Amino acid sequence: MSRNITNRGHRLRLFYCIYFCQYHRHEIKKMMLKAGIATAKVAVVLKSDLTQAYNVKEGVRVHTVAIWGAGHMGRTHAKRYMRSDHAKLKYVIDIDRSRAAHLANACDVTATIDPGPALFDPEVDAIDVCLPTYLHKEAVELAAHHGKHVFCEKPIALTVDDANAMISTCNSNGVKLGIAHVLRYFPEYEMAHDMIASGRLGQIGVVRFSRTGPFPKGWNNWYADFQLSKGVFVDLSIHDFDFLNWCFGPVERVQARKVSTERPMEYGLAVVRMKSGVIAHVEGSWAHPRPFSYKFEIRGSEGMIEFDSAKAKPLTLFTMPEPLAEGAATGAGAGPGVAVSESPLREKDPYLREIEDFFAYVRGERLPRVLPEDAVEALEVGLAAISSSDTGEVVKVG
Amino acid sequence: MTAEHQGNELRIGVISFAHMHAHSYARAVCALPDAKLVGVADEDENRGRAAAEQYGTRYFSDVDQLLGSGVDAVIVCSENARHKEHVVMAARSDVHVLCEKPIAVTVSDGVEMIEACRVAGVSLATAFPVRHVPAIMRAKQMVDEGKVGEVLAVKATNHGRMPGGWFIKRELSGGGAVIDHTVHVADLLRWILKDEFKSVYAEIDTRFHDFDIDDCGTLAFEMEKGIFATLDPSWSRPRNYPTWGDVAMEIIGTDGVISVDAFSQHLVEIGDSQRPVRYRGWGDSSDLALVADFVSAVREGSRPAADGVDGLRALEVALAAYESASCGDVAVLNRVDC
Repeated sequence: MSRNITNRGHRLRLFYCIYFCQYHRHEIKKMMLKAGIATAKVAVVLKSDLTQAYNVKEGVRVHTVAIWGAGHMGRTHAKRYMRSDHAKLKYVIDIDRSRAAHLANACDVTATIDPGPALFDPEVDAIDVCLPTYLHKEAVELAAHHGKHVFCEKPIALTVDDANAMISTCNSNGVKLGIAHVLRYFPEYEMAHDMIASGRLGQIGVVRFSRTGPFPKGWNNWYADFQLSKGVFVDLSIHDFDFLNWCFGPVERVQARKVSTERPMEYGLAVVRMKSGVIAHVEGSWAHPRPFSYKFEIRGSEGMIEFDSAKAKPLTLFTMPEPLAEGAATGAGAGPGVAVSESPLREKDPYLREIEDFFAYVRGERLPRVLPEDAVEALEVGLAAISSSDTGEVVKVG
Repeated sequence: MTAEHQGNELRIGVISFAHMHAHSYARAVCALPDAKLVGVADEDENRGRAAAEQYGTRYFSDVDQLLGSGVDAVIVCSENARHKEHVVMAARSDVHVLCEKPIAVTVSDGVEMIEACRVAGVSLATAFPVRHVPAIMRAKQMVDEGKVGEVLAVKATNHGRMPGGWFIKRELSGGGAVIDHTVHVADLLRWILKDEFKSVYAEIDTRFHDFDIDDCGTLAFEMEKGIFATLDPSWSRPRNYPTWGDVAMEIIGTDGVISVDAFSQHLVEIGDSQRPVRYRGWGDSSDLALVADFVSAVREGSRPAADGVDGLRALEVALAAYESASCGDVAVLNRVDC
């Protein structure tokens, strides 16, 4: 690839090239053009700051990272840094000292309750922000001001203004921003995306996406405060909204309903019409008292695909129940016990791949599969669903 | 009123085998000890004669002849747009009717049918067999018993294969996937929730086939008491799908969720050569229970599980979905008095 990029025309061609090389498949370009996606995608690419994208370094550099937030996602990411050839963990930052220490000890890195040591450490290249959504903007901008690249959990922010401000702060500080829309790296969703893009399913008509489980437990129960999490549409269904954008381009309109109770629980259903004509149904539930599961069904004129994570369990551990206390009725240890299922992956692990993809972007090797602008688009759909639910109106998007 | 049947058996005729469900209903009549299949009327002579022979009964080329032959009741399985003509003829001959769904293709036709049967004092039942699926009945019972607390929302699907034939001729069917597959779930929601529909929002399109009738869509409902629900009524099952389709619901309540899949009691059959994988149902026959309910309602002069008004209410929901899709906004149900 030439490094003498001086005009917009050249940039455009190069970005096409970078984008499509990601897939090693030129026929996708044809399909996307046909589906009216390419123009939108190219526009998105042009928006992002690629000024450092071409300074490919000799050899592969190992980046140094600090995780900010040692909750569920922080732990999930930390495990992947242990396995990554491209990024290693140096700090775990958490306001809760014992939680920071617990994860840091497990990873043999430094624990801190203050981001300062990581932000001022010149060895640290990037901050991995795994904080509750309402803290994203502050943390991302602080990291950017310290010249650190930022990998931030989804959703990018709670408002489009906040999200755009974060993107602009990262751009003006010359750092890369990645948003962890990990669904695009789940092999089952990736395969569905590629099958759709290949055209083997024909023209897509109706698609259904579902994400259901119990109410999430978070730090200070922040999910239960709607002002802090924005509930199922913005925190949960945003995965599916992003996937819809990835597969079918922009959304035309949304009609949605949601309900919540004090328990707490929240349940939402959205009917989404894509500009390409695809009709989508998206279910987001924190009302299902059973293990978290997700499924989809995609029907085109030439065939359909369906997936249900509850049926894709290659491994389940069944453990005997604890024996009853002494003196209790006979039949100690009777009953169903506990079943815990896993779907382990090695090189296709989605969390490892999203991290590696982000650091390849940081190194300037390629554009990541998810650009910050994609995260804003998904947020817009989630907010439109909330708005539709609140007003009872059909809400146009974009 | 009770039927003026001769002997102990209710004498039942079938008007038209245009709808394939006629076969299942005819088998049900033959299987019931207190009913007898006494004739088949079909303007398609080949089809009618073949059916009459198959079920060991008489063929009538003319509906009036069948109605005048001493039948107590008929099952109407003609094309949707012809239900009115056949039901009104039956009512005028004082013959009870079980009518295939959707009850009609317009609200005014539905009202006329209900009125004709009311005036004649005959029973009009709408064929909503899913009410008779044991898993669905149990789900309703769980809702009634408050097992999931207060119901807040329902997510439903009624997928199917594209049936072809007259189903895709608008003048005979009244519409495509949406009229075909909305009425079952609309009826279940009214029945289970004991509530009426307030509004419908629908995204409807033709995206799988090269014809001008709807083959897919997704509907969102609001009930009068505030419960919301969605339904996918698409003809979205490819020909090689292991089964024709589904009727499935998740009922979300304040204290839990009921997940019900009406036709999941099946074996999976995997053939060699060209035979695709198929589901083979082993559960109770809902069509048999539907016909048995109709027979007992006629004999005892009681109300069938779903009557003409139930059929009309479900039709109104499907028609409101088309109205929503054409105006691009939520359509408020305007229930006709009847």
